[in-house]
Amino acid sequence: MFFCNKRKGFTSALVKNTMEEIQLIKKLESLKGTKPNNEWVSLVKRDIIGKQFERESTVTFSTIINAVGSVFETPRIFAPALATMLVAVFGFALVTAQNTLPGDGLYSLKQAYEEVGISMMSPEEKAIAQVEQFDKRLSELDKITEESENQGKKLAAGIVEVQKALVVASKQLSKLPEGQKTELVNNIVSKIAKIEKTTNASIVDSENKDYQEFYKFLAESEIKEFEANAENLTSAQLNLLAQAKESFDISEYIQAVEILYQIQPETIE
Amino acid sequence: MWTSDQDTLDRVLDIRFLKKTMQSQEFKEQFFSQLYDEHVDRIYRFVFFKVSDEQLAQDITSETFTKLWKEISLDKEVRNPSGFLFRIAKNRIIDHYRAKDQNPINLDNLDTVLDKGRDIAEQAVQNDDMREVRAALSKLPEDYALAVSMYYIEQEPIFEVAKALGKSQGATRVIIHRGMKQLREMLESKG
Repeated sequence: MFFCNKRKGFTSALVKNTMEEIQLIKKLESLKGTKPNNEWVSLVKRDIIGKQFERESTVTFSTIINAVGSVFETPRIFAPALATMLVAVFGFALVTAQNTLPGDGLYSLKQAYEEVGISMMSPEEKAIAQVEQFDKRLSELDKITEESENQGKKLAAGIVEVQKALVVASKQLSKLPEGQKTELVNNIVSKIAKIEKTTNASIVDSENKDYQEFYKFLAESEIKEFEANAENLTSAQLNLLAQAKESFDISEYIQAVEILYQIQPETIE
Repeated sequence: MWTSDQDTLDRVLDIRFLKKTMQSQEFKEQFFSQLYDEHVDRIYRFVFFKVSDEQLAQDITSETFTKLWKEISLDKEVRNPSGFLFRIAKNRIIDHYRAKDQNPINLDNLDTVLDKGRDIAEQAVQNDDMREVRAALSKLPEDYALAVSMYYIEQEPIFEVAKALGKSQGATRVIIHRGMKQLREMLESKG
């Protein structure tokens, strides 16, 4: 009898839930009646089609090398003089390039010089150097925000460089020494947040899966930390923590970190 | 079966002609125009229900289609336009809130876009009901909102939703289920 009543109760709850779900689905379906303004629709279409985009073209180190290669096809008699001249010009350019910022003419030379240095390091040193390189890119972006000349163009180039360096740094994460990993990642993420605030631009592109490892590591360590202090969290914060864990479980690491950031430490009871 | 040299030559020329046609500005404009007409209402709805602000929804929708136009005009392949557009719109919403650090709910603007042909009394009752659903929808995490909107409002098949989310069909079903559960819970706590 008890089981029979329990089953009846279960069945009626199930029916109630199903009915509620059906009603909700009907309401959702009726939202399809919402439409944008017709004038706006045709205006925007015309506006978008009128836009023109150009393919990106950048001067890289390899293009410089190719240019030098073709120069060496000149008669052999001029080779020593040419070589001396090249070394002098190249040396001067290299020194000048050290102070350049993204968007400047000699910036790719500065990067190529850095790459040569990194290529000669051991895997562990290389990992740390590439994370530090990302730090450098962030500092360059910071400098750009203080400059007034060509700021728009440089800012765009600076953000691209930061994003590229973040992808490289993210791939090196597993090679970082365990003791330094948390500190380096936290440092980087807080710097990204700061620079996003100053530039009002989004550095982290949610579509880019290349730096997922970075956010996976950060979300994991933050979740662990909050779980260890769960008794100090309010019910709303616990709810956020549960949402972050759900996002983490479905591999949405950037989203998990964003939710975790809503659990402000100063508001923890 | 062997084909003659002339046949092979014709085919090569056909492919070249097709490629040339596809790279022409006129073709690109027509292709974009078709995709725009097909998807603009759906993308706008998804964004509007998430941001609850007509102006912002227009801006994000416009940015989303600009990104599609950029891909088409630079001859990049867009394999699944519907999934591509929903994914871009979702990411633009996330980027917007990340950059501005804003509260996504703006209840005052929920009634700005309504069916204007309806009877006023009927519209008022429905608005109250819909207001709650829309408010709950705007509070859902982005992936849940995307999945529920695509599946229930736009009635897209599961595989399309899965493509937009970049997840397997199984994971997508789980996300839709969780989204609906959260929606029901939010509405119950209100009622």
